[in-house]
Amino acid sequence: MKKRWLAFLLSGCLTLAVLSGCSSNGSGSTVNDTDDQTSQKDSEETSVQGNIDTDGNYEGVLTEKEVTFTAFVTGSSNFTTGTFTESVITENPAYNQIFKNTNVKMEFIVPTSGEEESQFNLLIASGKYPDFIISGKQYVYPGGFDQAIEDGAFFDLTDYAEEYMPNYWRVIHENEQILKEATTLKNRIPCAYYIYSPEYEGKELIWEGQAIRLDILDALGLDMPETIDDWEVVLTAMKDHGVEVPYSMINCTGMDAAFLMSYGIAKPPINAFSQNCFYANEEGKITYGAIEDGYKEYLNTMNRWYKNGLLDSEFMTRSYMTVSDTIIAMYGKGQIGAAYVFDGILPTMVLAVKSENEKAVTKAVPTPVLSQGDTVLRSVDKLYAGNGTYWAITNNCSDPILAMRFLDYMCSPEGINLTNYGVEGDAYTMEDGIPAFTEKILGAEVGTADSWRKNSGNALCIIGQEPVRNMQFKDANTQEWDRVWTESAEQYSTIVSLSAEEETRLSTLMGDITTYVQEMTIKAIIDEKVLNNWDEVVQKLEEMGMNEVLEMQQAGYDRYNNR
Amino acid sequence: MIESKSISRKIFQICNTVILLLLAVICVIPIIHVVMSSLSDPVELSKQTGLVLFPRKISLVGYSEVLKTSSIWNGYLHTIIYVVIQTVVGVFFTALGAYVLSRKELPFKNAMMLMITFTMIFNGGLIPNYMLMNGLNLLDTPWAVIIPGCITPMNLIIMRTFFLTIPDSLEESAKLDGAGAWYILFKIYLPLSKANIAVIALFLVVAQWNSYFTAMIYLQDRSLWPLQLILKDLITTAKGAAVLAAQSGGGGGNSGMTVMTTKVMNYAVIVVASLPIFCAYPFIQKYFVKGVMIGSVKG
Amino acid sequence: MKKRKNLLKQIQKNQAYYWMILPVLLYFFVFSYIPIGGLVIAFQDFKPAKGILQSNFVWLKNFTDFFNSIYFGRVLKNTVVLSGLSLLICFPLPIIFALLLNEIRSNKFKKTIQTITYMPYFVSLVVVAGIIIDFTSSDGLIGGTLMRMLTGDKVNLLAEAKYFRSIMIVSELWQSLGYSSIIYIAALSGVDQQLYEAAAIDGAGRWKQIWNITLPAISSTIIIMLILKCGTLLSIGAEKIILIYNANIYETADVISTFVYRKGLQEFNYGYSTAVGMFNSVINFILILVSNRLAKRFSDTNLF
Repeated sequence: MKKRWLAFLLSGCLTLAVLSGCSSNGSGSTVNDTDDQTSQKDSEETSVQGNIDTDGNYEGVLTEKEVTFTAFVTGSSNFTTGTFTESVITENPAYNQIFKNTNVKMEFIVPTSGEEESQFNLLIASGKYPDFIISGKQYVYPGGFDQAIEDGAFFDLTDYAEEYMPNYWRVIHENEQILKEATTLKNRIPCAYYIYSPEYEGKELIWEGQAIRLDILDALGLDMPETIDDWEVVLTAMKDHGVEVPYSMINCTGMDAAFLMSYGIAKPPINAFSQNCFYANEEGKITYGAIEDGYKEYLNTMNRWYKNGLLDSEFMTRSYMTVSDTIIAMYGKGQIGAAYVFDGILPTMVLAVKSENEKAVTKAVPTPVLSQGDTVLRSVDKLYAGNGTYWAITNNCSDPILAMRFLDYMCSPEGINLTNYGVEGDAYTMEDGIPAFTEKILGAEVGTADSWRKNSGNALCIIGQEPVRNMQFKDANTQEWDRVWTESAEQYSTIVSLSAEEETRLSTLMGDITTYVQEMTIKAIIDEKVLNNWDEVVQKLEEMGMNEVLEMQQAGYDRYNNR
Repeated sequence: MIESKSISRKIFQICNTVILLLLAVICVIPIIHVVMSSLSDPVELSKQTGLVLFPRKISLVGYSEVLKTSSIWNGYLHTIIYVVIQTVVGVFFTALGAYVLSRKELPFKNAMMLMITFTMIFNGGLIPNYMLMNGLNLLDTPWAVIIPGCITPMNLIIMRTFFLTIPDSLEESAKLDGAGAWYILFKIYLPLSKANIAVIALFLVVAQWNSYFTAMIYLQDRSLWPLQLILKDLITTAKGAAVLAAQSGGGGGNSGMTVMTTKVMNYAVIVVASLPIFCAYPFIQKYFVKGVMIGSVKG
Repeated sequence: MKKRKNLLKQIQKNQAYYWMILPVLLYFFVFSYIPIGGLVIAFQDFKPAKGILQSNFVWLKNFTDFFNSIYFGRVLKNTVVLSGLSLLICFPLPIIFALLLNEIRSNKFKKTIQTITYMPYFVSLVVVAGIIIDFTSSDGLIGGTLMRMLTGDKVNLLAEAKYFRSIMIVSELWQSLGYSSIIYIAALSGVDQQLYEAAAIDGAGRWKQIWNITLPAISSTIIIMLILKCGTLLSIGAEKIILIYNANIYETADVISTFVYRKGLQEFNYGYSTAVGMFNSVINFILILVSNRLAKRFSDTNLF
């Protein structure tokens, strides 16, 4: 009886082993053969034809016989997965025009909204790669792009980009920072990154920050708060005036990014997506918010405010899942005086409060400072190869040369217009050489964003034209908020590049550290005892391996910067 | 004596009824909340905290948004197909298995039970299962959704427990008459097991009706998607689109509308998804009637 | 020798049964046992790109990582306590409910109650979480109104660790009572009515009837369900908890699955989560074996 059972188990394992061998695409076996494989592909089997004129535009189609590529698309901050409904793709005049102009069609494979991660993992695990992978920075091949190329999963563009992707090549060589961000640690070009056209010189657009009820301030006869002390005065006055929750952090971590910046913490230890954040301080040393002195001072202030009822007494239960509904309801009823918001949620909040109270006015507040005249520092990821959206060609692609040309088409002037704006005459017209959206987009019943999505090729938009686009897009209010938030802090980029082993080790250590930091932060804000013993908390973090973590991050940071 | 008995009995009946009524009320109130919320005007709903026992302003926007999606009808169709096939096939094989496992003197019966229970507890996880489906070429076919969950250890065990309550005398007398295992199962046991079959059928129907995870993992082809998955996708998409719309300033006040509309849609989705299954229950209920066994023992 | 011969004879005699159950066994072999082989991931530093064959073996490292965590004791304790409470409270109540329902004369009333109580099962977790958060907030029905009546002060119940377990149990009860009772209601319908009549004639009161007829009739169902429930001690799902918990109440709210889930947010660490899952399964399996042995000893119903 027992033996039989054991036999079952063993044969089961064997069968699984056989199956996994068959279906994992032999990705293991190509580790050694990468060079051979790629050099084979370039010399034959490309159906690319056609020339490029001096502007960078492609003359005629890219291939004589129509080719269809498949692309796995997950969301990025440029486009959400959910926007890829059938109709959006098939009825989109811009995509259709692109396909016609190049004679290359794209078939998008879209995972279920909300389950991108598991589907991405399954894709990698099963080795069933389509021709392209289009994704945001949160879904990257484990170990990074270098690992992907070495494992034989992705196609290495480095030796071919100059010849086959001249437009893209030109853009990434515009300045040193862009080139750095578009290449890997080992100086490879692994994919086409989304190259962002900054709306503000050398700054990434910030679409989150603080907002306040201006009408309440006016009623109290107060000015916009600039320093932490100003804030305390304003919030206390609001409280006395009857506002239930003078300030809402709109997240349950207790880490308010704006106030943290005032105290010198350039990035909160745990961000809205529950990820750990490290940043380099002025001396180029990587640090973690929670162990800095500034953090302790921040907690002191927050504790005092909590005790005085200036904060939401239930902030810790505003779970990220349900928070927006509650906050919208509270703001709508006038219970909140000021809050830390995203420009995605603010319009709804404004709408809610206006429907109850005609006179309510909401205004964005610049990042506060500790004392007058201080500068606030904000650490961001990349400045140009923006928000990490990328187009990668996998080694399963039958014609990588054509694929590269296809991507480069998007970077040609014609492609830039089609992907950013849509079809000329239909979605936009040229006015004085600057594209202006037509009524079809701007006046659409479903909303500008939606109609733009349905009429432009934005999933293939590699070279962004934010200033021109967004100026017409975002309504005056949102633009104003974004401007205030972006300009009020000095930005710099902290990029760390870790190996797969380091990432694993990091995740092992950070599991406990994150839980501890989260718990202790909240407790420190509501309980004086914990606050007074904060030094012990920092000590405990060191015992948990904080130093090792920082060393690894430092090594990754130096590695990236010094190549 | 008899009087006091019937008085205490009456008191018991009254208390019982009250308790059960209370329970029903507690159960139904949140349901009312869901239904009423689904019929609410989005802007008004966004300002309401607490239980919604009556919408401030009635609006069918939630439903129109949901039903507008043409793929919903496709989803209903597929869900029904999957449910029916899985239930029929599942009940059949579960009955076979449960019957065999309930035969007391069968050699290796315990080993088989152990083996089956083992699978209930141990699971290889997402990746091995996916690779299996991949290897069997079942990805993107209806079978990828119908086969997993068709026969579950839980259902087998439940059915077996029911079969064990049927007296041995029936089987013995049938055997004396020369009946084989198949005959006994189909002509004697199953007719006596109406409640049993109803329960297993109900569990299978409910499980498949509510399921979305298997479809999500194994079905890339959206035209095969069951209802729950389409709805789940709809909500997440709408939420994402709404935030995006709001971010880009929408068309005037339109953007705000969309974020609030998704909240109402959420509730409408629950009603649309669950209504059919509520309606199915009364049909199953009639099998849970007392006294099914009467007459069988004597015969 | 004789035993072996006897056995073979028995098998032959019963061959119809073996043929009958063959498809079921095959089904489990293919769709359950083969993937179980994938548990080998628990011993690897699994990288999706490398697949099972190529990932490095780290043997027990994933397990020790889990055991060595500072929070191991806490999450284990929380998981066990929540399961234990669920067993103690959410297991018997559907049975009692089924019995109470059984006593109702009016069929119509019975059916209506049944249908209504089974509805909450279908309300999606997100909505349930929303309702919970709402009720327990200091303005809500329970956190506000009820608490004020009981203690004179309103409390946000989800902000304090000590209330979490009650919140979980009560909400679980609300959602599953009706649905879980179905199986007992079905079992009750199989009780021979004539037994009741005979007992009544012998002078037995209703309570005696329930004790001597009803309960024994459904005892096998109860025991089997109990054994199965014992096999879920370490399997509390993360979905519901994630929707309502917060860092302030990790003390009682953080269970094994939520802890692993948070860890997974950093990086897809399949080896680790498979190892933890395996650990849970092993404990659960031992529990089923133990409870099955106990059932064998104290009753005549058992699984195997």
